[in-house]
Amino acid sequence: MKDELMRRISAALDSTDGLSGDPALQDELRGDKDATRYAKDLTRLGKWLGTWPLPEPDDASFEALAARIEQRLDEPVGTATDVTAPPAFDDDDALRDATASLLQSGEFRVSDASIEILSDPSSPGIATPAAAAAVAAPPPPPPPPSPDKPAQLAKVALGKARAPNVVEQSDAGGSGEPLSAAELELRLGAKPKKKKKKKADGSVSSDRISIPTPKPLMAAPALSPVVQLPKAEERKPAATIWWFAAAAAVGLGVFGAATLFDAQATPATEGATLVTTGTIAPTASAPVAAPTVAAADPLSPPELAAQADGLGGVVAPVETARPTTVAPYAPPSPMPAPPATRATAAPPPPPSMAPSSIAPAPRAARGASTGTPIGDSALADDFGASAARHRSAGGGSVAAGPSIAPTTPTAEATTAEPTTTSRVTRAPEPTPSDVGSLPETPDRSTIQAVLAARTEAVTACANGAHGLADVDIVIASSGRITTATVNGSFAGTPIGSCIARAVRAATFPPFSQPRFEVTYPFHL
Amino acid sequence: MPDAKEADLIERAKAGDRVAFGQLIRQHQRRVYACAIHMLSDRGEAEDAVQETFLRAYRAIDRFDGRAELSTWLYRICINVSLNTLRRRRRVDAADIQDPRVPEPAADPTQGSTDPRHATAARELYGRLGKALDELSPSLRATVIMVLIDGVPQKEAAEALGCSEGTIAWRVHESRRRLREKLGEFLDEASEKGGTMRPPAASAASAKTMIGNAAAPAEAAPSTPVAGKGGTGS
Repeated sequence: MKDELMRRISAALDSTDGLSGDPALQDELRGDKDATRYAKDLTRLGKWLGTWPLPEPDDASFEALAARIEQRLDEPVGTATDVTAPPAFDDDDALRDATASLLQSGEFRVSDASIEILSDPSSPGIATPAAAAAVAAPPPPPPPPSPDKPAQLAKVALGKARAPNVVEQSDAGGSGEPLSAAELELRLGAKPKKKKKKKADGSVSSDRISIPTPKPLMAAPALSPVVQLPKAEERKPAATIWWFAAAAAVGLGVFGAATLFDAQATPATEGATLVTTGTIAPTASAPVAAPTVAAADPLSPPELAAQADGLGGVVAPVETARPTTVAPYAPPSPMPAPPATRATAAPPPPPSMAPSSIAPAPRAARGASTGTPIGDSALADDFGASAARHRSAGGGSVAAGPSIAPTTPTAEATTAEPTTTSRVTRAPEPTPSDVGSLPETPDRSTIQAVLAARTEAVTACANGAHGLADVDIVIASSGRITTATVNGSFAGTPIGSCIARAVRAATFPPFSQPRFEVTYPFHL
Repeated sequence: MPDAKEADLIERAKAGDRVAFGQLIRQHQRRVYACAIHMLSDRGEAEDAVQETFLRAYRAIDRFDGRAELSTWLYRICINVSLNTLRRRRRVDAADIQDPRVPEPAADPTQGSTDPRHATAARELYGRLGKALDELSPSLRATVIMVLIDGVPQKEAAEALGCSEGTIAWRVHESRRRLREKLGEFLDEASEKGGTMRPPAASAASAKTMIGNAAAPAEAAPSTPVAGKGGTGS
């Protein structure tokens, strides 16, 4: 029996007139034995549920219970969670709620948790107008992925499209493809996860990435995304002065330019991180360079170039940090913009930004004292940068890595808001017209940046305990985390629950796939 | 919107009147208990959840703005508390534990028909129904408890669970479909018996044991919906 008919029957049962209020449905039922039986079964089921003779405690027991509650009214109650907020379900069905609107248009065929775009195979990865319109349509009970396959990932067959930055560990080096930084990193210590998926063109990708369990801090330099700040004493005094001058200038809204620090003072092996501050205010006549986030990578430049060549991305290896010019500043609001501070995560690009104008907001490395050896907010990427990278790479095939080339200056470049918050804010909700331009999945550096921003909250849960919390995270296409399951030493403990809640508070930028799964290790 | 009497009790409770809040507890504790027992399927945990629900509600009563029913608000708290309990709970082998939701008509003749065949059938029916309900995900289970068991309108359920009515409608549909699958054989048997397998609680004597104030639906023809249950509320 068609799911559509089942939904109509269910909807009719919920209406005040019932099945009799839908003559067309009744006609259809007369000719369909299975549907008639289904309707009868649901009716019977509803009757059973609605008249459930629940054995309750007797009146005296309830009175005693009420008295106990009254006695406890002055007791302190936990304040860890706001129980008056809407419940946050951790299950896949709640996820289907979130993704259902994408699946109701008929543009997708749903079977065994795999989704294929039927209407426009020539435009892989891009929602068709009908699909985009369906996103905006009000949702009747939509057809979800098959529930009989619990916890399976929805797999989107997108023809030639390739999931950016998502490469199965076992594929690295084995398929003859150039080795990306992400692949290299995955090979360093990741555990094998899922079976790889072969696409039509033979390329392999996965909608799940696993961020490897980090080695102790001593091994951190081997993890390419980790970007380290030069120690303060390693900077020249003049550089420090310049840095503060630049910050002050930006904070006061004064036009000017400043060299942040002298790159020559920083040994190339230190993995210098460029810190840009302030608001970049370009003009149409005098375009300025977007802030560059550059970091030394353990990989040599040829390797990085190979990655760029092989993956079609724009990767510019930078061994030493270059002096960066902060462009003339135009205050966006009467309030002076504060300078960027350490441990900041960039906000998502404002909705009004032109696609090529999103510039990464400043970010600096977080100290190792936060307890997370990898995935720090120092990872040289952010939503804006990742979005720009997706666009510049024609849909995104740049391997995750810390080095991002300076964005090509354009006249469309616009203001990048400075930030001092370490919390990643919610990305703007995509409009139907945006759906086609969304990245297929969040990229690796974005994931790491977002999750690294939750480190403090996660660490707070530990309350002094130590161990590894591997968190399996399922992200809906809206960017909301729908499931966070803690494995490892804190699985099934109150600390684990707290960690799961802390992680669930994170929000990612929207993406086009129905869901995305990632495993992230938190070292406590 | 709470009725005038309840609104008065709420206002007094907001002012710190514990007696007024005690009355609110007595008005709503059965409904909250029913929600908790269906979510947790454990009597002890359900009673703890009831206590915590009201304790939390007392602390947060200032935030209850009266736009929705108090019971809806309590539902939300109870489901949150139950979810926290489920997350804390370690797996236990419940094979030998009696499901507290299954009626025991032999022990209570007022609990429906005294016909032993009906009693046995009812036990089996609700034993299976409880098991099938437990196998639903928490989001579906909470929706079923509110909409299909307690008869909360879908609109109110959407408010309590923080989602759209469309989502609630989908959850109801999906829950029905899955419950039917789980009960397939049993439904077939009932169908072959011509629908004679009636829940024992259809009698007026046991109406008080219904969850909340939901009235027993009238015996309906197969093509008639469960009147007043799970309506859209709009």
